[in-house]
This record gives sequence, C-alpha cells and structure tokens, in this order.
Amino acid sequence: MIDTIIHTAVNLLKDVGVVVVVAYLVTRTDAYARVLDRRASFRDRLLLTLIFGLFSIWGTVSGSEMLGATANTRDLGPTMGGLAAGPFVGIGAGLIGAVQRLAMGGVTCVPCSLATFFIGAAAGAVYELNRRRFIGVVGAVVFMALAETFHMGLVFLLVHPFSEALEIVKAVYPPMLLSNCAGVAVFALIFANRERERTTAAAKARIDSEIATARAIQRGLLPRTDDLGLGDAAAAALSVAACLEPARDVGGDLYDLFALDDDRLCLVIGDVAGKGVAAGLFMSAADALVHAASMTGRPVDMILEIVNKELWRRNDTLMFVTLFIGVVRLSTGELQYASAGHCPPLVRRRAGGVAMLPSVRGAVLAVDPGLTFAVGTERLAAGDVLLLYTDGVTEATDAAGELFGDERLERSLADIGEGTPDETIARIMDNIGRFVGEAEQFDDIAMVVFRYEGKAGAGRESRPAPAHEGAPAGVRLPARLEETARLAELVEAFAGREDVGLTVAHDLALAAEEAFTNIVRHSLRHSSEPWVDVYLSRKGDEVRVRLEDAGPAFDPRSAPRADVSAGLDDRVPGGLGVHLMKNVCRRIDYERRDGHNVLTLTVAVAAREGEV
Amino acid sequence: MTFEIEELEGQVAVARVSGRLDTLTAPDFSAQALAAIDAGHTRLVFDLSQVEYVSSAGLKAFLAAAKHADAQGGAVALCALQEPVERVFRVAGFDAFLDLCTSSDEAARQVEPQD
Repeated sequence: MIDTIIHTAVNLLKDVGVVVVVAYLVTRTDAYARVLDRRASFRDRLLLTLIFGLFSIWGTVSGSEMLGATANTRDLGPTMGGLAAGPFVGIGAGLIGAVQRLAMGGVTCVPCSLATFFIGAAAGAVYELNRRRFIGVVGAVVFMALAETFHMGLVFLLVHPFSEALEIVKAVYPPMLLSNCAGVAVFALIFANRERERTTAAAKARIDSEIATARAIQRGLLPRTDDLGLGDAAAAALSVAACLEPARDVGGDLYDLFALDDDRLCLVIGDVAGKGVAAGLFMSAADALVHAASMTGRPVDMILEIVNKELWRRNDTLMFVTLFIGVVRLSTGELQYASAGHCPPLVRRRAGGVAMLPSVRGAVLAVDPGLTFAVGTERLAAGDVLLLYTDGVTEATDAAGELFGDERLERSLADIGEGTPDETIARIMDNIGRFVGEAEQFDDIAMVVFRYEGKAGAGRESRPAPAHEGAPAGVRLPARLEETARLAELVEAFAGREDVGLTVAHDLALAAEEAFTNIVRHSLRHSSEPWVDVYLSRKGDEVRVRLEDAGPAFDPRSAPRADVSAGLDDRVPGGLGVHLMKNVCRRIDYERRDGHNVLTLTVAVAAREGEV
Repeated sequence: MTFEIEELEGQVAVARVSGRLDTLTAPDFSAQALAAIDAGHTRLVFDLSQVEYVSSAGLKAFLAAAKHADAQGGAVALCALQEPVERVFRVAGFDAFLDLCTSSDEAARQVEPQD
C-alpha cells in the first residue's frame, strides 16, 4: 500500500514537469498579458479556457488508476485558470475537465466531475474577491489543499458504501493532495514571477523616463555658449565653448557662464561628490545659489561664502561640492577668481606656455558654514586661453588603471595652437578618448574653454571706455625697437589664423611695423617704461591692427610727407614709413583718447591671391 | 637676414640677401652692403629673390647703399624682387633711381660701365 502511494506520488510529481512547461507557455501568451492588463477580450478568455480545460483533461488521463479511482491532477487546470484569469476561465476549464471525467464513468465519476467544476468556479470567485488579482503562491497552495479536501468530501458524500469511499480516499487523497499542491505551487511561482517581472519592467520604464527627463532638464539648464547675454562689443571680446559628459545619464558636474553686466562674464565650474541623480540635484541647487549670489554684485570670495552657507543649511545628505568661479572683465582682460577646493584652471598664454592659475585658499562647499575664501587675480591678454575642468578629465583612467593626469592635459592644451575653443575641447576629448581606450567612463567630465580675444576692435571704439582704465588688454609690448620682432610674430600668427593670404599679411605687418617704430621714436623721450598695446581684429573684408600708447599726442597722418618723386641725389631718409603705411592701408584712423594715442590701421582683404 | 657676396666676371658683384629687411635687420644689412662697396664692389646687384619683406628701414638701407656706390662712381641694381617687396619699392618711388630687374644678368648689365 505504502509502495503504491509512493509510486503514485512519484508519477504525479513527474507530471509537475509538464505543469512547468504549460505554466511558462501560458504566461508568455498575449492573451495572458492582456488578462494582467485587465483588457482581455472574449477570445483571450476562450483561448485560456481551452488551454486550462485541455490541461485538466491531461491531468485526468495521465493520472494513475487506483482501486477503480484515478489519482489525478485534473483540478489543477481549472484552479489555475480561475485563480489567474477569473471565473470565466475557471468555470469553463472546470466544465471541460468535468465533462470529460463524467464521460469516463467509474464509481467516482459523479463526485470527481462535480468537484472539478466547483473548484474551477471557486477559484474564479477567489480571483474576483481578491479584486481580480492572482492571490499569490501561498494563497494558491492553501486554496488547492482546501479544494482537494472538498473533492474528497464529495467522494465520501456521493460514493456508497462508505467503506469503499474510505478506501478510495485513503489511497488517492495523499498523492493527489501532494501533487496538486506541488503543481499549483509551481504554477503560482511562475505566474507570480511573471507578474513581478511586469511590474518591475513598468517601474523601470517609469524611472528611465524620469531620468531621461532629468537629463534633458540638466542639459537645458546649461548656458548657451553662443548667446551669453552680452552686448555685441563685449561678445566680440571672447570666444568660449564647453562640454559636459556625465558618466551616467545625470551627472554631478556642472558649468555655467553668464553675464553679470555688459562688461563682466562669470565662469563657473563645479563637481558634486558622487554621481547620478542625487549629485545632479545638489549641483543644480548649488548653481542656482551661485547665480543668485553673483547678482548681488559681491566679489567672488563673498559669492562662495554665501553659497557655502546656504548649501550647508540644506545639506541633510552630507554631500559636498568643489567649485571654481571666475569673473572676467572683458574690457581689460582682468580675471578675479575664487575656488572651493576645485582643481585650478589652466591658462594657455598666447605665446604657447601653459600654467595653472595660482591656487587660492578655499575648501569644499556645504560642509563648514564658517568658511572664507581668498581671491586670485590674473590678467588675460588677447589670445590667452583659460581652461576650466573637473577632475573627471585628469582622472580619466585607462584599462591599466593609469590616470590621464595633469601633465597630459597641459600638453594637450599647449598643443592647440590657434585652435578655437570648440576645437580645443574636441582635441582634449579626443586625447582623453584615445588614452582611455575601451575603459568605461568612470567620472563625469566637464570643461569650459574661454579665449580672451582682447578688447573688441571696431564695435568697442564707439564706447567711451577709457583705454587706460585698469591694465589694457591686448598684447602689451615695451616700446622698444627690438619688440618689432614680437609684433611681426603677432601679426603673422593673426594673419595665418584669419587666412588672409600673403599679400594682406605683408601689408598688415608693414603698416604695423611702420606705425610701431614711429610710436617708439616719439615716446622714448617721454617715459621711462613706455609701452604699446597691440590689438588685432577682423571685421568683414578688413583686418585691423590697433596700437595704443600713452606717449605724447602724435598723429602720424600729419607727419611731413616724403617726397617720393625725388631722385637719388635729393632723397632724404624720412617720412617713408608713413608714406608706406598710407599706401598699404585702406584707412588710417587716429584718435587722442584719455591721454592715449589710439591708432587704427585698416587693411582691405581683397579677393584671394590667385583668384583675382 | 643673410648677406653673401658673389663676384661675377668683370667688375660686377652679386649680393644674395635673404630674410626680412626690417627695423631690426636693416642696420646689419646696411652695414654689410656699405662694407662691400667700400671693399670695391661698387657695381653691385642685390638679388632679393629670398627677401620676403622690406620696410622703410630696409628702403633706407638701399638708399644709403645706392648713394654710397654712386659717390664712388659705381651703381646698384636690384633683381628678382618678390611681388610685395617690389610694390614697396615702387610705392616709395625708389624705382626712379634703382633699377628693379627680373634677372641678375639684366641687373648686371644695368650696373656695368657704359661704353
């Protein structure tokens, strides 16, 4: 007897394997997906009814014959159909299983058929009572145990004599209880899994969409480098580019650029400890505070003090920020900056040397409310480039664990030549990319490249800004004849950058040299350290060199004319320079402004050589 | 700026000049040119094919050389000027007393004693 029971149980358990396959397949049907979405059609229900009904029949025919009764898993189909898909499927599958069982006959055919039908209906009712949701693994197993007990109850009730009913129940109840409960447990596990999977996928889709929105907002908060809110004249005094490459979708690095007024541009770069959405949120708060504090007109160290206090007040999650803020006065090139533990920006001088901005005292923000900061001052000359970056740049790591490092960054910056800020960023990113290779980007990367172009040429001249206020921008050369070499270099580089052709380059260099040597001769006697500021600019089809000096008023246009028609005997070496200047320039403008000579030489950029 | 003298047949020498003749280099050029004339090369052709730039300082050096040669009964001529350089000479009216030739042979004929 015991052997038989064990044998039966083993057989039934083997069938559980089939259960797994059926359950898996059912959960992958579109019909079942629509049931979960509560939008199942009649056809969907009919399909599921048939599947569970056939499964019920399979349960019957695969069962083991014992004492004229069959130990079987017929109730499994209607149970799962009802529990997972509602009364329609439960009752339908129960009916199919019951009709088939009835047709088989035997002493238990009536109670067994009725039991299957009722169990299917009851399972459907449980689904309804559970607000049309599957009741879960434990609930399903308990239901199944109760259902099989009810099944046996019906056998007692409807099979006579009682002794025969008792024998049958004693033989089939244990294996049926075991196998059906095991079957329903497997079924329920797979169903519950499927449901969890769907919930997780839905939740993930929601989070993904929120992160995408956050990323879009963060991107949207970045300033547009092509419209900084400056006037035309001030905007012409700089060119700038920036990039932000979060390691994840949302990053803790941020840069910002905004005009404080028509002459001052604020440059900000920062890095929140950590990555991802939390860091991004904190950084947005920090940036908004920097914005607000900057508008008070306070100096950069005070701005950091205010931001630090406010961030500290709101810092429940113990984050911290490193931040660099610089304010450039575009009319003079003067840079004032402060740093809260941020890596010092690099300056590339026009001539090619690269150095870190001298570091200034200041610790990370949001940790200590009483911090104070120091102010650094630097003078940018025309052509100088400022590189602000976050440590994701220098700490970009290759597959071997080596860091990109300060040295590689400095070399990259030194190598940019006359590249625009956009090209500079592209070049540095390219260098980083090639260094890192296949290694995954570990930290956020942000960079701002700012090139000071010098006081804007034409546009600014109408402004009453006195030339001597602060230190002049442009390139200041000592007023000595030796400096004509440097002047020639400046003009040549400028002409090359502007691609104006050899003839124009020659004429511009000639005009510049003649004007410069004139100034040197006139200012030498009057000052111990005379200087000349040189500005080079292009506007449309004209290139200009503007020379400013603080020597005595001297308008070269009024210098004595050279007699260029004189023969060899009558020639005197004088006035030739001005004569050449007048001939190669389209225009020579001179202005005595605030005690300065401002001489602007304009050379026309004609059609390119060879194209005439 | 470099300056090299090459003696041709007859009494003519060619000064091959290269580089820039500007405020900084013109004094050196002028000194070498005058020294060459003093050394007897009073009939001197300046080959300027390698000169890309001449400013007023350079012009003055040529003026001084021309006057110096003239004072010693000689003459100077220029040849193979690059376009911008030639323009500078013409703008300054130096073509009135300096022959701007295309080749050194042509320039040499200009400075040879007239029979």
